Amino acid sequence: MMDVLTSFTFLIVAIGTMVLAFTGGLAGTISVMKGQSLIGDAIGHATFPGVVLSFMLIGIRETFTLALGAIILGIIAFFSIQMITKHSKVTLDGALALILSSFFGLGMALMSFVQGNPDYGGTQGLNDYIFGQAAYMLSSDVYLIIIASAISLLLFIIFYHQIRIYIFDPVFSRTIGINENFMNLLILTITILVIATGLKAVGAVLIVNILIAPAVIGQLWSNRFPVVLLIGGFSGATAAFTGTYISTAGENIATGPAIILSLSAILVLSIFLSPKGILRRGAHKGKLGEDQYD
Amino acid sequence: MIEVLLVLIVTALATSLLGVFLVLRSLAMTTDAISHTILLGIVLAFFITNDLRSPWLILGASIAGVLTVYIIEVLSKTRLIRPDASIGIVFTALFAAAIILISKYAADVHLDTGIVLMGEVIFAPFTRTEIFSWSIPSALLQMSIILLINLLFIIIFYKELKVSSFDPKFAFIAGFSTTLIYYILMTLVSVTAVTAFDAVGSILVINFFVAPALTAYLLVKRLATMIWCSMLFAVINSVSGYFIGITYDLSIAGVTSFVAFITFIIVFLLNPNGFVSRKIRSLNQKREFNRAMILMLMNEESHQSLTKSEIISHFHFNAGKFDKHMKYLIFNNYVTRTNEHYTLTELGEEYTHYTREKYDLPV
Amino acid sequence: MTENIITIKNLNAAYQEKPVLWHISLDIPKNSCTAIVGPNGAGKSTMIKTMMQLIKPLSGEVKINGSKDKHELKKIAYVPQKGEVNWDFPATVFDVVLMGRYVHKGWIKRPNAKDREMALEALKTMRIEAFKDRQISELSGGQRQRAFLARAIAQDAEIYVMDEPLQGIDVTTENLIIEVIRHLQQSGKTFVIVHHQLDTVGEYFDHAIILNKSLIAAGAVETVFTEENIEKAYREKVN
Repeated sequence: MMDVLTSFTFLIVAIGTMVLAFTGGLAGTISVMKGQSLIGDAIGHATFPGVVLSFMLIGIRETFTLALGAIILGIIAFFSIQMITKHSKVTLDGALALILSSFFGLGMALMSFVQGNPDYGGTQGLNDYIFGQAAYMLSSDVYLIIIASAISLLLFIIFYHQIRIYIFDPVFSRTIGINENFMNLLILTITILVIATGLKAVGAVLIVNILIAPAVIGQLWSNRFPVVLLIGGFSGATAAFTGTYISTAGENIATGPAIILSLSAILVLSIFLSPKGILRRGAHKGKLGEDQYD
Repeated sequence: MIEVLLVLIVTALATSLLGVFLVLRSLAMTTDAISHTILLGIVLAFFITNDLRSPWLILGASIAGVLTVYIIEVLSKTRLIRPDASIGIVFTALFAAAIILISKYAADVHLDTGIVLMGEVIFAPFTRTEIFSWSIPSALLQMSIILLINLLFIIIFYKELKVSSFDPKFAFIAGFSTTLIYYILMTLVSVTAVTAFDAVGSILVINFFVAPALTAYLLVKRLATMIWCSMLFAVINSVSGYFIGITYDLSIAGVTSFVAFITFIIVFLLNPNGFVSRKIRSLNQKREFNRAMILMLMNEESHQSLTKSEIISHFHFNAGKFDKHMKYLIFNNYVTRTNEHYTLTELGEEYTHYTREKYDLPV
Repeated sequence: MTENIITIKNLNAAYQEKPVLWHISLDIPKNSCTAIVGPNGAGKSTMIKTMMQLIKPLSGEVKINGSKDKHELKKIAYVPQKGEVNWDFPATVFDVVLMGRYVHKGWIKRPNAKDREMALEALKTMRIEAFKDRQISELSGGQRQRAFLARAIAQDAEIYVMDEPLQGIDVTTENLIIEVIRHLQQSGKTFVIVHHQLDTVGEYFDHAIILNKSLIAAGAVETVFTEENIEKAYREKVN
C-alpha cells in the first residue's frame, strides 16, 4: 500500500484530481442551486469538438491549447442554450439535449476527419478527452488544474456575497445594482475552468458528476451556505483521493469512473444518514413540529 | 452502400417518432440518461450470456433503462435532490460502473466502449440476416421491427399520449394511467436506444430522438402535424448527413447530428414565428407605439398644437427619429404642419380612437 | 409646498411586447404613503419595476430626488411579490435580512458589527427575532413576508417600493406591517405600495395612484380615490 501512496504518478494524479474535485464541488453548488445542474453536462460534451479543433488548428497535443479550445466551444454552447431557451418555446431540457449531442456529433465528425488524414500525427490521445485518462496526466496537467482552480476559487471568494444574493433572489440582486449579465458570465467562467481542465482527468461525458454530486452532498448535511460549500468541496476531494487510489492499486480501473463511483458512494450514504436523510427524516420532522410558531 | 443509408433512415424514423413525446413532456435529458445507462444493462447481460448478439442484451438494456427512470423518480420524490441534479448523478454513476466493468473484465472482447459510444453505421451491412432468402443487414431488420412497434404504440395509444403530454392532470382525472403510459414509453425508448447503438452510438442517439422533434416543435401546433414534420426532418438530416459523411469520409452519425443542429437553427431563425421575424415584428411594433404616442399626445387638450422641439423634449426622441416618424405621419395624412406647428388631422384623431381600442385603453 | 421624491414623466412601457403603460406623468410626494391601485393587467407591477429600472421603458423617464442617476436606486428598497426567490437556498432568516445591508457594501467587504446590529434591529421591528436561525423555507407565508420587509428595513432606504405586500397573509401580519409603515413614515420614509384591496385604501394610505394602462388619477387619497375614478379604472369594457 505504501508503494502506491508514495509513487510519483499516484501523487501527481491524486493532487490534480483532488484540487479539481474540490473546486468542482464549490462551482457546482451554484448551478445545482439555480436548478441548472445539467448545463455543465452540455458544456462538458460540447468541449470535445473544441479539443479536436484546437488540435487541428495548432497541431500539437498540449494540454493548455486543448483546454483553450474546450473553453471556447463551451462558451459557444452556453450562449446557444441561452439563446434557444430565451427566444423560442423550447425548454431548457430540450435545448440541453440538442446542444450536447450536436456539438458532440461535430466533435466526432472532426475526429474522424483527423484520424483519416495523414497530415495529422499523434491523434491517439484525443480520445482520452472523452472518458479521461488520469493515468497519463503529467505534472504540467496538474499545474494547469491548480492555476485554473485558483482563478475559479479567487473569483468565488471575491464575489462571494454577490453570488449568494444572486442565487437566492435574482430580482433583489438586480435592485441593489448587481448586474445580471455579469453574474452569468462570472458563474460560467468559474464552471468552465473546472470543466476544461478536468477533461483529461475525468472526461467530457462524466465531468458533470463532480459538479453535481458534491453540491448535493453538501446540501444534505447543512443548511448554511458556507458549510454546504465546504462539505461539497471536501467530499469531492475525498472521493478524488479514494478513486485515484483504487485505480492505481487495482488493475484496469479507470481513474475518472473510480472517482465518480466513490462520490456516488458518499452520496448514497448521505441520502440515508445525513440530518435531512431518509433514515433520520422522521425524527427531524417531529422536532420541527414541536417548536412550531404560535 | 444504399443499405447504410436505409439503416440510418429507419433508425432516425424510429427514434424521432418517440422523440415527439419526449420533447413535449420535457424528457429529453432523462432520455439522454437512459442512453448512457443501458450500457450497464448490456454489460451485465453480456456477463451472463457471454454472447454479444444475444437478445438477452436487449432485455438487460431495457431493464437498466427503466430502472434509471425509476431511480431518478425515487430520488426526486424524496425532495432531497432536484430532478435535474438526480438525472446528472444517476446516469454518470451507472455509466461509470459500466466503464469500469468493461475495462476490467471485458477488455478483450468486442464490447469496445468506443464502438458502443460512437457507433458506426458504416459497418452495419457487415452483419447480415437472411429473410425469405433475401440477405439484408441485421441492423436494418431490427430497426424496422422497432420502427413498427413504435408506430403501433403511437397509433394504439394516440389519444392517451396526446392527453398525457399536454395535460397530465386532466389525464389523471380522466382516469388514464399516466404512469403506465410513461413507463411503456420509457421502455420503448430503452429498447429503441439499445437497438440503435450499433448504428449511432449512445451519446448521439439522443440527437436522433430529440433534434427532429424539437425542430418540428418550433414550426407546428398540432400533434399529428408535429409527428409528420419530425419524421420529415429525421429523413432530411439523415440523407444530408449520409452524403456529406460519405463524400468527405467523416463519421456519418456525427455529421447527421450536427446537420440536425443546423436544421434546427435555420428553422429557429427563419420560421414565421422565429427569431428574425420576432425581431422585425418588435421593431415594427416599437415604431407603431412611438407614432401612436405622438398622436395621442396631440389629442390631449393642452397639446393640440406642438412644435418639433416640444415633441422631442417630451419623448426624449433624437431629431432623426422624430423626422422619420413625422414624415410618415404627415405622408399618411394623420398630422398637418402649419408654420412650425404640428396639429392632428381628422384621420389622425380617428387613429387615436383605433389605438385606444386596440390596446384596450380607457377613454 | 410638498417636495416630490419620485417624478415620472411621459412614461410608456411595454411588457412582453404588449404596451401596458401609456403616457404616464405623475409625482410621488416625499414622506407619503402612496397606494397604486387598478384592475389586473393595469400595469401596476410594470410601473414599479420601471421605477426600479428592472424594466426599460419605451420612452419617458423616472427621476428619483430629481436625478436619473443609477446611484439613486440605492435609496429604494424593493419588496417583490411572493415566490420570486429560490426557497431551496440554504439561508437563515438572519442571513436574508443581513443581505439588505449589502447595498451599502462594496466588493468583498464583509458586514461589520453595526450591520449585524441593524439586521437584528429590523428583525425585532418585524417581531421575528425568535426565528432568526430558522431556514427561510421553514417560515409560513406571513412570516416570510415579514422577513422580506425586515430585509428592506435593514437596507435603511428612503423609499420603500412593495408589490402587494398584504396579499394572502394573516391579519396579525397585516396589522403589524401597517403599524411598521406608519412608524417609518413618521421618521421621514416614503412608501409606494401596489395594493389590491380597495376597501382599505382610504384607511392605510394618504396618497393614491389609480391606474389602468393610462393614468386615471393621482394625488391625495381624499381627492382622487372617488367612486367615479374607481369606476373609470375598473369598468369592464363592453364588447
